[in-house]
Amino acid sequence: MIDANNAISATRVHAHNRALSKCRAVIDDIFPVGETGFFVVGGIAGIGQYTREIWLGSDTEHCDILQQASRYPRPDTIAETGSHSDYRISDSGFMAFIPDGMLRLREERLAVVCDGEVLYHLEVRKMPICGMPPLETAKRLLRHVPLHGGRMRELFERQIAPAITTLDFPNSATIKPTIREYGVMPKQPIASVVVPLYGRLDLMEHQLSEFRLDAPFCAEVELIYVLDDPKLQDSFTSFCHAVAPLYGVPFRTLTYGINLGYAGANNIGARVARSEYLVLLNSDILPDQPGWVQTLKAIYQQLPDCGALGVRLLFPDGSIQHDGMRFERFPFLDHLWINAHPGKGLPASEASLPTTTTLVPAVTAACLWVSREDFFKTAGGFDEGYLIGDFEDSDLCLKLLVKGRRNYLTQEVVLYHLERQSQSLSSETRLLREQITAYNCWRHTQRWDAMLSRLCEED
Amino acid sequence: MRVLIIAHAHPDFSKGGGELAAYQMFQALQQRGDDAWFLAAHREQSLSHGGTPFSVLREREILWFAPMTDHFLIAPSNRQTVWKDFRELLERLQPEVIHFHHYMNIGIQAIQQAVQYRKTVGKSVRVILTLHEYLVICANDGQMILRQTKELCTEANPPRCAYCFRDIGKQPEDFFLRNRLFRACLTGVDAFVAPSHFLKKAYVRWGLAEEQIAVIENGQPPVGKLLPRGLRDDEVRGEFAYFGQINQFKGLDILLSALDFLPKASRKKIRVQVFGTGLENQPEAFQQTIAQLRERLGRYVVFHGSYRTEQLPGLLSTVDTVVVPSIWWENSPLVIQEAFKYGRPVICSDVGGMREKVRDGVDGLHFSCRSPASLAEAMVKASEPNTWDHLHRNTPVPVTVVACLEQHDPLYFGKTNDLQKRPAELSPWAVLANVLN
Repeated sequence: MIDANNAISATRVHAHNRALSKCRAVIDDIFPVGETGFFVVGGIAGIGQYTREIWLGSDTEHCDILQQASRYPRPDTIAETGSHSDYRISDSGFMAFIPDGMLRLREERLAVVCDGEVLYHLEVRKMPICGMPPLETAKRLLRHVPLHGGRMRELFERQIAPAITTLDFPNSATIKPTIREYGVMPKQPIASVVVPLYGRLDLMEHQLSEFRLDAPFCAEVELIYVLDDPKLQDSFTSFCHAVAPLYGVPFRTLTYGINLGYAGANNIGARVARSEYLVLLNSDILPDQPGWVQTLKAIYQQLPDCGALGVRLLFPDGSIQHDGMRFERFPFLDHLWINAHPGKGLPASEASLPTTTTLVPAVTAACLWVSREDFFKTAGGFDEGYLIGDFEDSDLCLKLLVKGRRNYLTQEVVLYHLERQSQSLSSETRLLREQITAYNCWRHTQRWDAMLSRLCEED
Repeated sequence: MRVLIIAHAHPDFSKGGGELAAYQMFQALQQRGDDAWFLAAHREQSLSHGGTPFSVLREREILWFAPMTDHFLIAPSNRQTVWKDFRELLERLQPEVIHFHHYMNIGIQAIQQAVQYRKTVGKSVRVILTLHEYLVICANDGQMILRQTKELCTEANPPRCAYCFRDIGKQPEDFFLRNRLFRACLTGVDAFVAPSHFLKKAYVRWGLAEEQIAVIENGQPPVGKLLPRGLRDDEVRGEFAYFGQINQFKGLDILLSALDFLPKASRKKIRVQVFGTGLENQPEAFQQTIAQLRERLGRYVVFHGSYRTEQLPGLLSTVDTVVVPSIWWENSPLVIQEAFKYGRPVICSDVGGMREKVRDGVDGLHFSCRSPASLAEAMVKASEPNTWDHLHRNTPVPVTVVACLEQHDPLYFGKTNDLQKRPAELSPWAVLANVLN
């Protein structure tokens, strides 16, 4: 496979038909991971009982990639070779993370071997590496993960996660953002609202339009917008300059020229926040009543041991988008734990009466009240190991539970959440999204499986 | 009292009814001794200076260069002209009444700027908005008709609107945001003026408070009624006319098709004169329809081309009845008022503002909207001389501009509405239901 962004690729060299029938190895993708490693994905089939190997290194000093690889079904490989393979379909695909692979790649080829005899070589073309950004590498890894067929967990655990962990993602702790202020900020804010921005800026204007009508908000709340999208950096400054005086709502902006992801953007905003309390807020959330932040504070102060306080969120049509989260095993993702939203889609009037504040295991960070101390000291901020953004909120809520806090959901404060379906995605992009979500979901389950099993047995 | 009238266009450069009504109010205010100023938007780069959006047309008439790019959110392409330049203008002029006749081109945010200006200035400043159309309610050019089928729309809610706009990929959330933004922009307006009860009803359904909307018809300069057209002994009242821009929503094709439905006896006695232009800007299909009808109808249809307002009396004296066959709701079509003030009855579609302004069987006739057969029936009735005389005698005298101005005085002098209350959200969605009376 030859790919313009590919640093290395592998093609077969000088193989006779007899050799191919004994062992037909195909490399679908091979690329560097981190400074020294590479990741290889391919398929293997053949007729006859042999010990088949793929050697990395020289003929005299080598290691077998297949030893380190995980195997999984690749029906397309078998189809390509015909049905006469002695390989089971379940073993026909392989993927391997070789941590020191780039160092050991001698003479730039891999040897395909049967019973110790080199049948032919796969030439690995090495081109100058421009350095794929860590997120791009992670996406490339995840593209190959089959979500069905039962091997997903093992592939994450044995190959994908070890590879991702060596990647050098930027961390919010090392970033010094540029801070700008528009308007006159409240001197002693009762809360800091942190809003990460990515992909689009127009929603920020709609939020400002709503906040403008909320006099207590303008007087007592520190509003912080965090731009997590370097592509928008140039237009962002002129956008703020055009829009800020139009609405007259004071706000601060943080920019830092890279994409940290949801967790990092929130961590940085929370770090810079000046008040004791944080309201983590998505950019696609619109308040419905003035004074909602003050109301949240009043509710929080009445609740014993409150860690995270979440709110009821509605879709624009008035149906429930979020009413607290519950954990469930999802059979279609190998029974990993997912964050369920009970009542989602039901008309709010039917969902529950009267409006109450209840204990829940977790709440969404689309709108979440938490003290700054709990966020950082008790929970250690958002975990930046989740890719792009997902599960950070339930992760945070569970960290708070472990330290003895309790999480609550209040229906007395209601906001709109414009959680939109992205219609224009290609099926390929949709699949990648699912793969990224699956990885985050697996990572979350790895950490919390025991605790969630206990929690759900107690119910 | 200093009054600033703001329009989206200047009648010197644009022929619409809204800007004409605004300008006439400005002139009437001046005539009665008020300290009036007129601010009109325009889109001609050549008329503007560099470094400022403002220029002067005449004393007290300021032009505002405001090319608008976002029609969906009625937002100006350059927001700075709204919060900086417009605001500075207000601070210099210090008007006590800021009367918007529109928000097109200047952007609906300008209304909020006026409200903000009032807050900072501390003394009583009244912010008034006259609603001339339905843009805030309907993103389809404010017509409240469905984009694909051109049928009349009776209910606006985000899922329906998104469905109507599915060809350009709009989603319900886009309309949710649009509605909320507009509601926010209109919060703090002291009073709204609607030229028709129909329009008021539509806006009340959308969420404006009933008490805040006054129905005041646009004033007309007073003129004398024309004598009826002289008839020969055996002649009937067969001269019908269409006045105004020729576009696909004004129903000229319905009127021309109606001639096909006339009973044999009437056929050679009825003629349609068309005054106005604009056909060349219409979609191909519509242009073809008109061309085919024109050819088939031969000398029973006469296209006169454009006309100036001063020519109206002369043109109307050759006409018996004016026809307004619009296929959309309309608000208060200027052509109806003009016909009435010169003593000509009107036949119009039985929907919306038209139905309200023309009283069926009193000063005109209704026909079933979009039905050439129904229109033909009405034309036959109106051509009967005794019927026509009755209708002609009952044509109302439109409100004069001065009287219209006097009706505004309670709004101009009333107490400032300091409510932060935004227009209500009636249900999760605003509903424009059952507006068909």
